[in-house]
Amino acid sequence: MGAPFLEIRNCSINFGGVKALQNVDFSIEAGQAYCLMGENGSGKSTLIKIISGVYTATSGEMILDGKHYTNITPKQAIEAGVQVIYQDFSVFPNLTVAENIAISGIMSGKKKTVDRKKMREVAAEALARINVDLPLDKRVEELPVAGKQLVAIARGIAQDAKLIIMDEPTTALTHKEILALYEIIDNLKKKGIALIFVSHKLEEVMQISERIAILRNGQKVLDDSIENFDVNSVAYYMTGREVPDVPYELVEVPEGTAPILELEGLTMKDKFEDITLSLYPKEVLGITGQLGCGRTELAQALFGIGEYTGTVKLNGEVVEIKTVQDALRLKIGYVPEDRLSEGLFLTRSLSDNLAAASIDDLADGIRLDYKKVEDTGRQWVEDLKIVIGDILDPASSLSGGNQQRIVLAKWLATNPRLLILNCPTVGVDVGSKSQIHEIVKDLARKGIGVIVISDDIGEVMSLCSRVLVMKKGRIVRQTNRTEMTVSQLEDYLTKEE
Amino acid sequence: MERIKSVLFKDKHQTRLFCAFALVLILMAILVPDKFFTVRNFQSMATQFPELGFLTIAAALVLITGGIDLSVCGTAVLSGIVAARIMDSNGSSEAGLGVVVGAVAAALLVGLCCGVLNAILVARFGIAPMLATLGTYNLYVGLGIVITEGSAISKFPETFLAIGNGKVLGIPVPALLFVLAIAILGWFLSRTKLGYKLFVFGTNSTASYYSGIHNTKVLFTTYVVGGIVCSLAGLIMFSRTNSAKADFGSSYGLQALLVALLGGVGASGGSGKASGLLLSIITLQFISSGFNLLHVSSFMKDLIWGALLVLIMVLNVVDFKKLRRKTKKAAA
Repeated sequence: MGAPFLEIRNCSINFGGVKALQNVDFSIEAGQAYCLMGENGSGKSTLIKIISGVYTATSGEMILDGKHYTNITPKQAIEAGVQVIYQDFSVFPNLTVAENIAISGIMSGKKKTVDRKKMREVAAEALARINVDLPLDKRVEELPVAGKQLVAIARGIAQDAKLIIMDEPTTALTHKEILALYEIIDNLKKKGIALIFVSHKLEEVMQISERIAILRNGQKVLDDSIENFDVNSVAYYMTGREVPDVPYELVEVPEGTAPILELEGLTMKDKFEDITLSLYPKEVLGITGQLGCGRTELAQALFGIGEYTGTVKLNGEVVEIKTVQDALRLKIGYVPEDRLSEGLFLTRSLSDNLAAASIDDLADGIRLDYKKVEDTGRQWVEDLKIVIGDILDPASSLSGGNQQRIVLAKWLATNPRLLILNCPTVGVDVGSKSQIHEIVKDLARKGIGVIVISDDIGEVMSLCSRVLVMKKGRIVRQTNRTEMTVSQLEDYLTKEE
Repeated sequence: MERIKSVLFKDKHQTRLFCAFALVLILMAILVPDKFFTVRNFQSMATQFPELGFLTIAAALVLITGGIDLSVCGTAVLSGIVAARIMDSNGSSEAGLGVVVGAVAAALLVGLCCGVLNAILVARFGIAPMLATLGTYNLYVGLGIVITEGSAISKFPETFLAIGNGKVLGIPVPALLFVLAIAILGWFLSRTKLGYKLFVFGTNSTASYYSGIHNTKVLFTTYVVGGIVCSLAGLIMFSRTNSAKADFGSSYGLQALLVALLGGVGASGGSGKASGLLLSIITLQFISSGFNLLHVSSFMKDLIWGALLVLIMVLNVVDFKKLRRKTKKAAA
């Protein structure tokens, strides 16, 4: 154990009156992996931006590789070996793998011309150092998400990174790709590179980090080695209160109960095949499977998007769902996967967002009373305990968890009998996640049919009564929560055919 | 007072626009008070701006959907020409009231059809609005040229000329029609279900689709209403000048877009107010009439309008950046 590669002493930063960080100490050694956790707005990103030179701390000092800095610039940080890999990886989709990896060297050099041969060498070497094989001449937009991430990592390596900071590195990856990433991370550690992960997912944190730090409201509330750390206390540290994670109670479906939803031989060409399932009252049905297994298409088919064959029965009655309007009329709601692009009107008021799906009920003929829209919105905010400033604030002003509850409330306002939630807690912090789970459980208890699609095996196993596993467009397994453990299900998902 | 304050200052853009409007009024009061503040001048201004005003309303509606309509002027010209042709072949200046009513109805119908065609191209075929309406603009003007055989149709009956030149209680008819249209627009945007859908669609059409809003219907209604509004502009134009020509007001189409943007309609969709449109068109009319009275060459008019529009856009963007920096910091 030598001197730390990075040390931050007594660092504070204020934005206007907001104390985004208060007296935070942090240090990391070469070859160490740190996990940085905290709810949205706890100061994680602020800390990272201070390290990478984007923000200047109001007070405190930073020692990077033995050198003292009081206000480091982004350029100095990069030269000292700090590399940040953001969630979107910041790669150039229209350039090749080699160009992307070598680009910083090309841009910062004095030469005005580009030496293609040299560029390929730099790229190949960087990839070799992380033991990855990628086609150098392929355009990055043609790579899968995991490939783009590898390109971003290799780009950091090509710039002699000594500290790599990764923001939510596994969000968009499949389980198998995550395992591959772990290996690369191990490799980096052996080469003496320090790593900081910002993450919401507990399981991965435990596997790849030596130490963990948790921030809450701009203060460091925990900094310990992983061995000394109790997983069950994470939620407490992050939120400052006990967060219940009570699995949804299993309900016996009495013999002869009519299902809310029945699918028979549902097929969509090239997307999914021969899906047969039923959903009973008071059940939460989980669907899981890797990206591209057809789960999203299945959910969308039930919401009137895409053409399917086969029968759909709602409360015993055969229905045709050809358009979203059909779904709305049949009281089927769908909380889409990407709340920012598909769920929210970011620049519009919260009340406008809440009213979007039930606008026809709120209106009086062609007239619309905005006062009523606002009052109804306030009621939903209160019912779901959504934390907002004013009902007329734009949706962009809320944190991820609260935004998600706005989308949920938008659908609850339509008084649905079937609600499909696609990855309802992606990018949502622990506290909000458990509150969203409680809302979903309550809906099921009230007799609304609930289908939850999720990657998060822990979530599926805690929230759902029954879980269906999809692979390549088919349901390959149906299990009760009691029949399988989380890790068994995970293994089953990643197993090759 | 509080209310006026909140209306004026809640919306930064509106505030700026109002300042520009006040500034122009003050300038006129200093420079040409005896000529500017006369009934005659106001009557003449009130006859001139409504035709561009109607086109502005149509352009604004489509801008709110996040699209752009370059064909407004084409629609106006074509509908006006159809009306002119009908009157011309049924007695010309001697045509009876029935013919005039029929011609006006035909013009409105043409406007509606132009809107439908635009909507089909944009909503059904998914062609980018800019390309679709650039195409239809040329199509509509081209049709107008074919119908008029390239020359002007003139000598309309008195009853038709009343639309553009008549006065009720001293107020020119076009101005009355325009104020009525702005009032309806204001009501539509802020008090109706469809107005809400229009804004929501313009903000994020994917999210509105996922919220069960019938996007195609919203687009169709917008373009069709826009087309009808354009045909009103066409009728007023040709009635006021007592002449119908296919190349009339060819710069109106782009001006209408600029006036709408100046009036606070966001180029990326989802925002806009009727009051902003009214303020912006009146301000521009004051400026151009003022320059006329000051004997500034009429060749300067376009130049000055353009400069003003560019200035306002720049102010908008500068303001925007500040805002963005602030939100970035707050989010971090």
